[in-house]
Amino acid sequence: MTLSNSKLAWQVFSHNKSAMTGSLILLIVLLMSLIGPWFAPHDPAQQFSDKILTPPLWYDNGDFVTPLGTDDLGRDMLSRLLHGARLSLKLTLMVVFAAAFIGIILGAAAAFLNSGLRSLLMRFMDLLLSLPSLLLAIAIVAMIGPGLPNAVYAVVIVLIPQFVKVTQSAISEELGKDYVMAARLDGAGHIRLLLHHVWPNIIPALIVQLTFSFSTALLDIAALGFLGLGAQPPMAEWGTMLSEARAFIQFAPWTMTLPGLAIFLTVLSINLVGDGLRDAFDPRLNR
Amino acid sequence: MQSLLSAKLLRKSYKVSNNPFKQRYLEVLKGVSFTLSAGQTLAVVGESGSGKSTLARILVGAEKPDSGELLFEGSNILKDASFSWYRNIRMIFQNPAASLNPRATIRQSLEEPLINAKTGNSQSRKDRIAEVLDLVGLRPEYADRYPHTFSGGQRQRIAIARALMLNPKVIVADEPVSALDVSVQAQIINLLLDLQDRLDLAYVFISHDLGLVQHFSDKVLVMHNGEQKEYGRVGEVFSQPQSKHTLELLNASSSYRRAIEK
Amino acid sequence: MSLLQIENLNVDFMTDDGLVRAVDKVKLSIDNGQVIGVIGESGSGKSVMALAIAGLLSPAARMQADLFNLDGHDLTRMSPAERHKLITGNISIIFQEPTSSLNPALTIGYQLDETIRFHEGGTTKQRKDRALELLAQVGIMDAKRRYKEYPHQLSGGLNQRVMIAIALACQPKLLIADEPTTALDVTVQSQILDLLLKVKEEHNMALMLITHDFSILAETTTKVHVMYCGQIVESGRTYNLLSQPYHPYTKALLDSVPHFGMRYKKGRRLFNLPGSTPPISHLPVGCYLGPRCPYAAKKCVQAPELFNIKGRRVRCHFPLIEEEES
Repeated sequence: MTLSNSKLAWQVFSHNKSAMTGSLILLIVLLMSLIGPWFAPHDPAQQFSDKILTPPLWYDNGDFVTPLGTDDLGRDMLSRLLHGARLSLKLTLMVVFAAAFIGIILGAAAAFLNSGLRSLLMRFMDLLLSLPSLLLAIAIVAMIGPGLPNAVYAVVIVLIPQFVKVTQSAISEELGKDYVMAARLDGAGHIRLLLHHVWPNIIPALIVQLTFSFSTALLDIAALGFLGLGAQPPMAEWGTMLSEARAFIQFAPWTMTLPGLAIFLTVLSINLVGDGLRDAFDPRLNR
Repeated sequence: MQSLLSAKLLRKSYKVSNNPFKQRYLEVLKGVSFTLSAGQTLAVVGESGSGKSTLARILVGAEKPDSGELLFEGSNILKDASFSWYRNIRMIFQNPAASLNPRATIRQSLEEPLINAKTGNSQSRKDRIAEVLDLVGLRPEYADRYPHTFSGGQRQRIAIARALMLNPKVIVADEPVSALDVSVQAQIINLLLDLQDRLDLAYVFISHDLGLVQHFSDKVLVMHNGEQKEYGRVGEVFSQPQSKHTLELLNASSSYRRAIEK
Repeated sequence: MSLLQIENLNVDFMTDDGLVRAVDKVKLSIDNGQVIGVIGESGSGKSVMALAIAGLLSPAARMQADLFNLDGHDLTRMSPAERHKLITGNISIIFQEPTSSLNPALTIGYQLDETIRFHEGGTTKQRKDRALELLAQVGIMDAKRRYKEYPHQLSGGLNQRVMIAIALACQPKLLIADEPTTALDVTVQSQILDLLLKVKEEHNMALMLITHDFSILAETTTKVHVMYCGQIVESGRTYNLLSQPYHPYTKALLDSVPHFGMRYKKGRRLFNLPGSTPPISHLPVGCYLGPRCPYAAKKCVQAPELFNIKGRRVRCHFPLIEEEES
């Protein structure tokens, strides 16, 4: 694959302070999810019955054994957060790539379909998009039943329409350009036109969509967990942790703040990176 | 002399309303005919909306006319499914920047017709690219650079190289210099003239610049609203215009006015 | 007396490559009612110069001039507010793309009315009458209908007429037309050009025509300035300059375009300069035309000054004068 202006895009991106901050946070989160579980001091499910609701270190009665405190069952917050990071990111990646795969194929097909079939498909996608993504996910889970696998399917379905729309409109836009016409007059067939000429030119748009889908997916999975429709206790998942801690927010705020902060920072960093990528690819450099 | 390319009463209309009960068509070509021999240049002039770009797209096979014949070396290529347009009739676009894939190297763009024609191996393709780049006055090393690193004139040279890759006989040039700086226009015009001499190319030259047409062409076809208003040798048409549309175009050319005032 | 007099006008832009000079020591003057031409290719600085004169430079630009007199007032000694008032009251400008110069969301009438309200005032009725009068002046037949229409309903030629009407509403003493006909069809081009000359006579304005096309200037202007890389390389009376260019660049511009009606031989190669205009951030040393110039010699590594010769100003060490005598 050739990205002639990938260097230029990197120049723009690396000069963007918020995007670079976002990348740094995201890198740390990714690192945590990759190697974190090996550094986790305890098993995330292990209950220290003598240490129930121990506060983190910076409280007067903090404890070095459980540096970020424990929850209501005496489980180590740090270990649970690290394991949760792996789980959340793994699920998010799976969900986004599955949705992107299906969505891009549908979108590419839509761009080449005749106008009747295309409008049928695109109006159905509009229908799905007209509902808030979380609401739609809840509705789907309500239909197929709660649980982590079903929540994953639901979020995949919710994310697909975005990819279909972005792919279809990007391909349609490119198809109208002179260079595609020129390639067609060079004797290139439909498939070659799409894969060889158009595809490299829509990658930037897809990358940007991909990052924004990451944050939606992460939030939706956590929200489903929080609502008890996704990951079930005792699984160490950020949304589920939030939900379990709800009852103790008054006297053990860390049990809720820490997973909340983890979700917040991750989503924020992804969005910052996404914004940066959009800016880096978007000003289609005068040529 | 047998003509290389000739058109007989080409017609084309587009559907302008999608309502199945009230179909409306817009006729953009109302019977256009011409003949063109190897080494000759036919200029097509007219205002925007006169149908000259549609004619260009039909000539390079990007669109099919509703009726009429298009004879290439004596056979009607509109009826011949095995005819490879891209080996014989090529197009040069007005805006060279837009007609080159921004994410492909020059080599990839130039290789495209060779790959589609399944000619040669990678080494022979490489040689051909170097040869053609040299022909249009560019250095073969440029092949591995991207379009945005070139100036407008260089990009149009690349577009010309791409048209020449498979040794075509006819080149349709749609306003090939109007997007370029004045001092660069002359370079490209001279290059096209050189190539015509060396390769015996026939040009269909679409332009609104009558000075250029007069300098560059043998025949001229004047179009207005899809109709062929006048067709003949440049000298005759411009010295004794028969149609009022030709006269209007001539009058609009202010240097023409200056010339007759003197 | 000169309406506009400018000496050593410089415009600099701050870019990633550092400070870049887009307009370099430009000197020109226009008399009341005079028509002058400025010719150059893209990147020659002609449009930036026009914007500088009309006070429309972006904040990123820095402008300075030794002399900038407009209608007897010295603009270099004025506060920005006073300068703005003087310029908007005396100079109007129209651009290449009429359709994008007009606001697509507002009617022609509204946009015209806005300008009239700002410059003349008056009651709603008076302003509307004035607007219709202006539209009629610029040759728009059914002014009443057009008044209510939006720019996208009008052709490019009509929109350019509307732009001229809006410019006239300011009652300017100088109208700057930056490539006013480039985006239009050939037959429309000459109509717009004729219209510009007509309103110039009727309103006793001076007109500055900026273009890349000599054929537009030939019969309209009395004086022409040729620009290359931000500098004026040659200026003089139109007829003299066109019939006998002194600067190699002027010659190249003239000879690289086959002029209609000239005696010609098919297949004759056109005179041209090799290469293309350098970007203003990477100008060559010495004469900016040096690397492309067929007449360049050793001396050309020194930047030539603009000097007077036979009633013309030329920026070249080797002006093409000998050929005239031979």
